[in-house]
Amino acid sequence: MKEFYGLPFSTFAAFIVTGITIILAAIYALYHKGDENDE
Amino acid sequence: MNSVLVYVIVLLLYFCILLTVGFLSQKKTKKPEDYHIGGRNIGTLVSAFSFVAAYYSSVVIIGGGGFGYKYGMSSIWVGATNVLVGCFLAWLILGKRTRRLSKKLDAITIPDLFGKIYKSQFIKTFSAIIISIFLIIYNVSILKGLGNTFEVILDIPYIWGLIITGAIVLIYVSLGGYFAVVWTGFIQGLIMVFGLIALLFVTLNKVGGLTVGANMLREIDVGYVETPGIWGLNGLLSYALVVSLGVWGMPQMVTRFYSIKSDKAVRIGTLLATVGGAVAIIPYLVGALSRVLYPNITNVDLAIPMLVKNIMSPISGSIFFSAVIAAGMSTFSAVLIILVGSLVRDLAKDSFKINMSNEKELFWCKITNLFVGIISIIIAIRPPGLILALTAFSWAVIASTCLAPYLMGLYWKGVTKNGAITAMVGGTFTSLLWMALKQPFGIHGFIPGIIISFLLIIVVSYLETKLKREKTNFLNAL
Repeated sequence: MKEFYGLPFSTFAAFIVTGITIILAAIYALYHKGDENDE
Repeated sequence: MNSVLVYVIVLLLYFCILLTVGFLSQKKTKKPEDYHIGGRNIGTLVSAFSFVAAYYSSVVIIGGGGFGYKYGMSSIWVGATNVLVGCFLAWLILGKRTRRLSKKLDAITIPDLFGKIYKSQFIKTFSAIIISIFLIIYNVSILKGLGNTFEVILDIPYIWGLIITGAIVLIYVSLGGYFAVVWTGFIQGLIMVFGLIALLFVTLNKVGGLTVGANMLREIDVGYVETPGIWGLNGLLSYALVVSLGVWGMPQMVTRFYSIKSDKAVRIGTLLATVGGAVAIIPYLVGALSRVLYPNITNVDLAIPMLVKNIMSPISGSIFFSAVIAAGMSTFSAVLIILVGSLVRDLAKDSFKINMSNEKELFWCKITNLFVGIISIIIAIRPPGLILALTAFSWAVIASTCLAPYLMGLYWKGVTKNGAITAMVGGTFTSLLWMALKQPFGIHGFIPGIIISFLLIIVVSYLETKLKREKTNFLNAL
């Protein structure tokens, strides 16, 4: 079984999920301006 | 320099900053709306970091380390779920709509928003009572965590830690209200982020790196590195959902969306809260690695305090200690301001129709803050035996009461008043009953509570609308 920093993929994937979450948040923060309503 | 002296100097400096923020915030607090939600004008950075600070209490940092020690590396999935569901998705799904709706309806508290969405005094009063009772229980557990931290790390009596931290929070919340809560929360959030990062680096250095630490854990038991490993899928999934999805129904978190100044601030805040919230992984990871250094700890909650005492320098240790204290104090103050809003505004003013001018309401907010805080401190001096069990359910009961009516009220046009009432009452009693039955199948009370609550709101609202339509068609046909 392939290991990442000594961890099996099922555990290491928690770091990957966190990284992807931050990337998604960055994309949302930078590009999703369409529905704003700051009167 | 003597390490205790370093701890005391850093703590005194930290407490002085908090009190200064309290005094400065007092000048900005002129009307009840300022006291409860900061005049709806809080900036992006402050909102995001005070959200993170209110989210992670000292119980999470110390308790998270304990879970890491007990169950191993699989527990970092709890931190990852906190980041994804508790931070990113919470801001994405709830942020803008809550800000707009609370502003449009001129709602200041969560019960106030419910009352105005559903045009129901019962919903407002019921939610205010549940929030008040169960947040006091939550407060007691936060205070207990603060007292224990002082006791373990500084070797000073539990009661002194309780009184010192409790009194400082009461002073700055009474003086500055919500402004003081979010600005101190912002500072505390930053301290938490830096303190946890310092702990991570020191621990990895001591263990010899992540790979070495993971391999040593594998030698002890392979279940400490695998997922779900020793914890098991049911326990891991259920706990991760409670402490992540539960946030969506917690008033002290949701209120950040009332007070943030613009949609743009919500958008940018989503990124900042997600990045800041990512430190949630650290206590679990460090707790798991601490088993390599200290394999025979019987009380798992001592895993992180032992690390701090034994491997950190006085300077980095005092910063981490301040971070744990900051985590507890920020959550205590965030809960306190919600309690005051529910008791003074929702119950006294709106439900019991006690007439108050703006000045009188501000005065009573400050008095109630002191009163509720002192009661919480008194209960925390000798917390009843059941308090820990009740604490786990305080989140479950509040979320089971609030989450379905809140989410459906934001997104579903077909939701009805009776649907919301049955969901609130049904969700509350289901989670309480589950607790009374001692959690059948090992499932946390939050899960059945929210399932029943969502089912009730959907079924009752659908049937009510359908019956109304049929009755109208029938009468039209006459």
